[in-house]
This record gives sequence, structure tokens and C-alpha cells, in this order.
Amino acid sequence: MTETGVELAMHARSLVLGYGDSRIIHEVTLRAEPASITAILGPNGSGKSTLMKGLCGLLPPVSGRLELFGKDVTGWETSKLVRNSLGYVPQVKNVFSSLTVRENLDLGAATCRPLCHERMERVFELFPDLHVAQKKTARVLSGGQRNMLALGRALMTEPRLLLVDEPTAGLSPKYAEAVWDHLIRIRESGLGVIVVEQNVEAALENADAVYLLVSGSVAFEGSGSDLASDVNLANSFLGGVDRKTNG
Amino acid sequence: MSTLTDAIGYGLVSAILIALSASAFSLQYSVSGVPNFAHGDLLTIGAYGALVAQRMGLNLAAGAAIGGISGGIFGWLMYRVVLRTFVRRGARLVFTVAVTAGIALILENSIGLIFGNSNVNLVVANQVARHIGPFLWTNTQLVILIGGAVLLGALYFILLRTDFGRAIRAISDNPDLARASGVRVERTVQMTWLMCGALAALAGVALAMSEPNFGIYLGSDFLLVTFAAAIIGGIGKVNGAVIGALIIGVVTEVSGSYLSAGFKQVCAITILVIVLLVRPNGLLNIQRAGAEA
Ligand SMILES: Nc1ncnc2c1ncn2[C@@H]1O[C@H](COP(=O)(O)OP(=O)(O)OP(=O)(O)O)[C@@H](O)[C@H]1O
Ligand SMILES: [Mg+2]
Repeated sequence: MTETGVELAMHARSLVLGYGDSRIIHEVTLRAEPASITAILGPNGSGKSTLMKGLCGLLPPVSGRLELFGKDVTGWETSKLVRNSLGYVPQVKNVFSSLTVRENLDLGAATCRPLCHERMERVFELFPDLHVAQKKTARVLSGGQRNMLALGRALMTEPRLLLVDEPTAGLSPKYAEAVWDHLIRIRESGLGVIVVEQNVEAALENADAVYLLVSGSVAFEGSGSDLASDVNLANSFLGGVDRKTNG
Repeated sequence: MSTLTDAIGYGLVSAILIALSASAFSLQYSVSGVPNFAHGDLLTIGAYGALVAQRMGLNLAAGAAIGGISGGIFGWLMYRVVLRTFVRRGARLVFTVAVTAGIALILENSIGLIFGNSNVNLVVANQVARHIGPFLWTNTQLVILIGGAVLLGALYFILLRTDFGRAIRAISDNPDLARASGVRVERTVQMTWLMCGALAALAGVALAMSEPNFGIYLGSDFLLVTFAAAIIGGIGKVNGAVIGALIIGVVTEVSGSYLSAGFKQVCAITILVIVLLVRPNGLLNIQRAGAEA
């Protein structure tokens, strides 16, 4: 429980992360509420993916503290976090490409032996495309189908908080919109979502809270409309992103 | 004509031994990234395990079981005690090669110390040869063929139909994503080394059964054909190891029966080089290693 009386889905306090001797994330504090979408924005190389890897336990923190639904989970292994209601979709290599669609989903259900049929039905309901493509090897899927499968696989672990790293990267605007629709539906079903997004407009429009990460530190946190109305920040950052994504 | 079909028949027996050995090697590599240069010694341990059982008065089936269990334990220990540290640290290939080669030396010398350096043999009853279709096989060879096929079938079943097998394939495809799916990666890798150690040791028992006698280099002499088969097929793939084993097994036996038996290893390497020139990643690999059945 926090001061406000609402249990946070995730609370990272002064998290420091890095690879070897190089520090990438400097004392980042992040709060994500349940049943809401928290977006992480930032230029390329600002450490968004590194932060996500820290939040899901793939990168053990140099210092700082990580809480998941009020429980101290600092230093926990990823598979243990996943068994404790955390879901994670990486930015790249987000499906098992040598396995079939169905096997990808089955693996997600490694955490739930008897009940996975129900879960799979729910995932197929959310992504009917996957139902049709069950027997295909994930390698042959299109970029859009792949991202759907990545989301579906993570949902099979039945998370209460889902971390998604750039689910719309490389997708056409139409597919990107479909992905956001899914994220919104996932939120409606009560899950917390932390999403890294390069498309600032989509994030500002759909997210309940926004973090702006610059060079591994939080440069801004607040609601999407706050960021949009902060003209200076918006100009320097949104301009920066636009140049990067278009170039 | 009959020499050709006889040679092909022997080739098939060889092939099943190579297939067992190469699938075990390949799977260990694909879950942990370690090319196990002490793999041959797992075969040797299996053979000596069966020998010990026989000397205690047990029959060959019990001997095979004891050999298999010993190999499983040694395979697991190798990973758990020594290699795991290097794998976790992300050690480069040269280091794991050097370390496993070192383990091989230690094992061979220890076996030599315990059992002596002179050759030994398993007592195998009933070496009557009989014709089956065009092939001429002894009873022992038949047992090896059938037993080997059953083991390979069981391996396929585990890989394709069980949670354990799916976890193995997931880890070799993408270890971090496996973790993010809740797969207990560390435990699965250890179990894989145990299973493959047992598989290799059973191949070693069969190899010892098919040789008039053997010594401490039984398995390490088999390493070259094992590597060749695993690499030809595309390392990390059981299908590939089986196809590689068929090619290596049959071609080496046939060429050995026309040239001299000493040409077998040369022949295996020649095939390996030719295949790699044409398909640098092996016959079945589309991109990178990933254990597929
Ligand atoms: N495995 C790694 N080892 C060492 N350095 C890394 C590793 N992964 C990322 N980095 C470095 O960490 C920094 C941040 O990378 P990160 O991938 O977190 O950025 P990002 O904000 O996700 O970028 P993008 O928008 O391009 O996805 C970069 O300087 C990168 O070079
Ligand atoms: Mg990134």
C-alpha cells in the first residue's frame, strides 16, 4: 500500500542498471498503477529497453529496489517474477521463431498446467488471427502477426502487469492502431501495462501516465496531457523523436 | 553385391550409434552453447559402467542401465560443477572448448587408473549372423538397431510432446524469452545434461558391445564421427543429427569395406568438409542453431 492507499502494480525505486561497468539507467524511480497504461518515451538509446529488462529481472539491478504488487522482488529471477504475475514482451526476438504458434502459446502456459485451455481460448478470442495460424512456424509470420503472437504468448502467463517493449515498431499505422486497441482492451480487463512507445502521439493519446527517459534518467513524469502542454519539453523531445523515427 | 549390402547393413548399425551420440552432443550444445569435448568420455563411462555390472555378475541389460545412469550422473556433474560457471559468465567458445577438453583428459586418465590401460571387453552372447531382407546382421547388431531406434523414438517423443522437451526447444531458440515464459531455464539445462549424458552412455554401451574389445579411448575415438554428424545436420537439431549419422555411418562403412578400415575417419572428415562448403550451416539450418526435432 502506498500513501494514497492504492497498491501499485510496480514500484521501482532509484533503480540503477547497466551492462558490465557501464551504467545505463541512473536512479530511475517509476510507479505503475494497476488497470492503467504507463508509457515510457524517449529517444533511441536513452535506455528504455534496458529499463524494461531491469523491471522484468533479466538485468539484475546494480542498486535500487523493485516492488511488484507491494512485494519486494529485487533481484528475483525472471521466471520467478513471471510465475508471480509479471508478463514481458521484449522489443526484438519476441517470439520463439522455430516453434509453432500453438507451441509459443503453450510455452507461455508453462506456469499453469491444468487451466491453460481457458487461457488459450481467451487469447484466441483476443487475436483470432492466431487461431487460424496455430500450426504455422512463428518464423513465417508477418511482422504484425508476430507482434500479436508476442503479446498473446505473454498473456498466457496470466500476468497482472504486462511489460511491452515497442509493440508497434515497424508496423503500418493501421496495425499499430490495432495493437493499441489490444493494449486498451487488456487494460480494460484489469491488467496494468507498461509500454515503451516511439510513437509519441499514440502514447500521449492512450496512456494514463507517461515517463520521458533521456540518457537514462527520468526527464518528465506525469499525464499525457501534461507532457503535451509542456511546450518546451514537448518541442525539444517530440521534435527529437520525429527526426529519429523519420530519418 | 553382397559385400555392398553387408556394408550398408553395418553402416546402419554405425549410423544408429552415431545418431544417439550426435543427438546428445547436439542437444547439450543447443541449450548451453557448450561444445562438449568430453562428450566421448560419457560414452566410455557408459561402457565401463556396463563392464563393472558384468563383473558383478549382472546381465547386459542391467549393465546398460547402470552404464546409462553413470553417464547421466557424470553429464550432469560436468555441467553443474564446472561448466555452469562459464556459461553464466558468458565465456567465449575457446574457453569452454579448453575446459571440456581438460575434463576429457582427467576422465580418461582416471578411468585408466581405475581399470588399467589394457583393453577389456563386454561378454556378448550369441554372435550368429542372420539375413534380414538384404542385410546380414548378428543378434547383437539387431539388438543395437532396435534398442537404438527405440531410444531415438523416445527422444523425439520427449522433445515434441512433453513440457520438458518444449522447454528444451524454447531455451535453444531464445533463452531470455524462455525465462519470460516462466520456463525454469537452469533446471531444464541441468536435466538436459543429465538426459544426454545417459543417452551418450547408452550409445557407449552399444559401441562396446559391437567391438571385440575396447579401452579408455573408446568414446574419444568416436568423437570425430559424432562431431561430423552433428555439424553436417546443422548443430542443435536432432533431425539433423540423425540425417548426418545416416550419411556418415553408411558412407564410412561402405568406403571402409572397399578401402581400408583406417579410412573411416578420413572419410567422415571429407564428407564434413564437402557439406560445409556447400551449406556452411549444415544441411538443415535455416539461420542459426535452435533445437528442432
Ligand atoms: N547487451 C548490451 N550490452 C552493452 N550495452 C548495451 C546492451 N544493450 C544496450 N546497450 C547500450 O545501452 C544503451 C541503451 O540501450 P537501450 O536498448 O536500452 O535503448 P532504447 O532506449 O531501448 O533504444 P531504442 O529506442 O533504439 O530501442 C545504448 O547505449 C546501448 O548501446
Ligand atoms: Mg529499445
